[in-house]
Amino acid sequence: MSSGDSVRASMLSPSRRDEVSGRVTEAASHTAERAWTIFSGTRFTGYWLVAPAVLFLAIWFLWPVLTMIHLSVSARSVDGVMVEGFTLDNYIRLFSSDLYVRILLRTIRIALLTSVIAALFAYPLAIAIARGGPALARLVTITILAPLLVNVVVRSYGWQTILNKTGALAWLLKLSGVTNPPVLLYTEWAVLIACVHVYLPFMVMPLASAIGRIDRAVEEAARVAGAPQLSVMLRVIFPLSLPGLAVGVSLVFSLSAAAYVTPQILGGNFSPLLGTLIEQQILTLNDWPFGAAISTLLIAMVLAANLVFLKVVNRRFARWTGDIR
Amino acid sequence: MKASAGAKVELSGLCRSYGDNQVVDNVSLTVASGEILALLGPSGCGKTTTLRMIAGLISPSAGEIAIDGSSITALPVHRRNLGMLFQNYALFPHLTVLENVAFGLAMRGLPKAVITERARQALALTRLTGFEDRMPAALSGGQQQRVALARAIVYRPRVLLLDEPFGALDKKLREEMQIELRQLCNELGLTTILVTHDQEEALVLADQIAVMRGGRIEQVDTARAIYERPTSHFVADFIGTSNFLPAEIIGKADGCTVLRAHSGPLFRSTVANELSPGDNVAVVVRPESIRLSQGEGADSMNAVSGKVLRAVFKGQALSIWLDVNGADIVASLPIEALNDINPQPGEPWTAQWSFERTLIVREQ
Repeated sequence: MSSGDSVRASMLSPSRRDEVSGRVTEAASHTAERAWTIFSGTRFTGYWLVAPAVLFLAIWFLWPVLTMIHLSVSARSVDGVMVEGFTLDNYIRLFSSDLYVRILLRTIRIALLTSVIAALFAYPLAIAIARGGPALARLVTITILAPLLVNVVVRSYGWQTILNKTGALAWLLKLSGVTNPPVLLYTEWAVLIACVHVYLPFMVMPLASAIGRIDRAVEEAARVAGAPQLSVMLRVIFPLSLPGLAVGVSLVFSLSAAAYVTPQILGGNFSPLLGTLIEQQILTLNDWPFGAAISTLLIAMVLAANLVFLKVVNRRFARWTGDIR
Repeated sequence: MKASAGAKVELSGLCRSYGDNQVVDNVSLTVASGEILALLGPSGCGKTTTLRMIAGLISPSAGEIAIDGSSITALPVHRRNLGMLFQNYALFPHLTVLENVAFGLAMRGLPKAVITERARQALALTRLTGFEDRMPAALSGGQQQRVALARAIVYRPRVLLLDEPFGALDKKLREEMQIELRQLCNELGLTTILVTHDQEEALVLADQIAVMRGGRIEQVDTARAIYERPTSHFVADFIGTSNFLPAEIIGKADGCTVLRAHSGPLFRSTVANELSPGDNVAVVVRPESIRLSQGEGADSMNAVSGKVLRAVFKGQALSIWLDVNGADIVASLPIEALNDINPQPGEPWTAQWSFERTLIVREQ
């Protein structure tokens, strides 16, 4: 209702004025109603419900990440002195040094290997959870989730006592006649073993859920049609579990690429990953811009990998459900 | 696809129990080559378990399954060479229609060209030419059903097993598919075992019907014989509609059995039976075997009189309920034969039926 309307209303005859003012209150209540509809109506309810989470992430995640990216291109350290101003030096330095590239490649390698090995271990376990009896499923689930209950530092030191030169593994190998058992501690292998151990549940759980959703009749149809167990596995269960595998690989790849404590304790300085490198740059060398650049690269790498996994599988999956034709 | 002679299937003493629960209890059956047999019964009667044991998806607790005389009881599922149609089709959602159909052939290690050719033939047989590259999710229920059928018959299985195959289709499509399936099985000479709880489906599709109840087989016979000569109360009740009159056999003479209903009237039956005088039985009369006449005339044989309770028009027939000494008797009169018959509630009418249509079943 604009002020012009009320002016015109006052110029009207009394009876007419009543009529108009009646319309004014009507319009006002209508506006309030509409405001309420926008707030509570089905179209916007969803946005209001996610708003707190979005706000939280924006303040505590998005903003710091943007600050970090900004730092990585707005300053550089020259002989320990911070020089401000736009620069790509940090990134150029990262890719021109053989050491850093090696660490980057090692990180990718370990993250990929962890994903692949975890996937290989995860399939039988996921099948046991999805297809076994309730008692077996519960037992396997608890066993797999157990490492998550132990603090990462404690767990890593646990692996250290197993993998070191005089550790349990070496002792066992010697007992079984291996004369010169390999020492795994402070090698990539130690990091890999520990990563697979702790990130296995993140592979098993989505896989078990995906396999659990496969119609048993589809498996039976394959068997009746002449498929032995292995073919059922390779041609039916594996392809139909791909959505779960993609989620699992995404999680495990991301987690192991960003792992810090485990590689620090088990890989030591002999095989550092990006996480260790970041820690050194920021806490030891005090080169925050370079640390920010490495962090940005890590985030970009993990994000890209995730997008590729999910995209590939989504497209496939959409075909099965008939979303895309 | 060439017509192949179907195999003969023999079940002997087949049992399956889960704990104390005897789901299938001593089932013995023979399905002749090229025959369609329906395992018919209410849910929980063991029919699906029996079918799954034949498929090898469940192993029997006892008993033997033989195909063409040789036992397959110990043979793993994938080596039995059977075709199976599942209730929800169970197509491979990640494979195209052609790949779905080709699956069984690929498992048999045939050359690629042969696989494609035979898969296409099977698709032509189920009228799905042109759908080769579609995904199952993009098909209607009826089309998915046909893909499943093509997938099951493409490798010329020895026996085709159908587990409630038409449950998910609407009535009209179901009837079409039933006729199509029957033709296909006959053309290919496929021995077929069908599981259903739908008596109409069993009557339409099957040469032989095995009525199951509580894990046991109640009666095995042709569709017509099952309908016209049920041997137990359960079968008479489960298939079609029946009137039951508790009675006692009082004598047998000249191929005729004479019975007295507990309520008084005498009946005569010419239907062969293995019952003897004194047995506790029931006279069974199908509603469509009954003729109605106005008034009381219960002095003649095989007739009971009562008051009309209600008359319901059902399209092809008029159903009339009579109250005969407190028991309901329902008669079904075809509309064509009605003429001027028009029973009104409260009127006395007499129901009568022939000796040949007087069935006798033993009562527990």
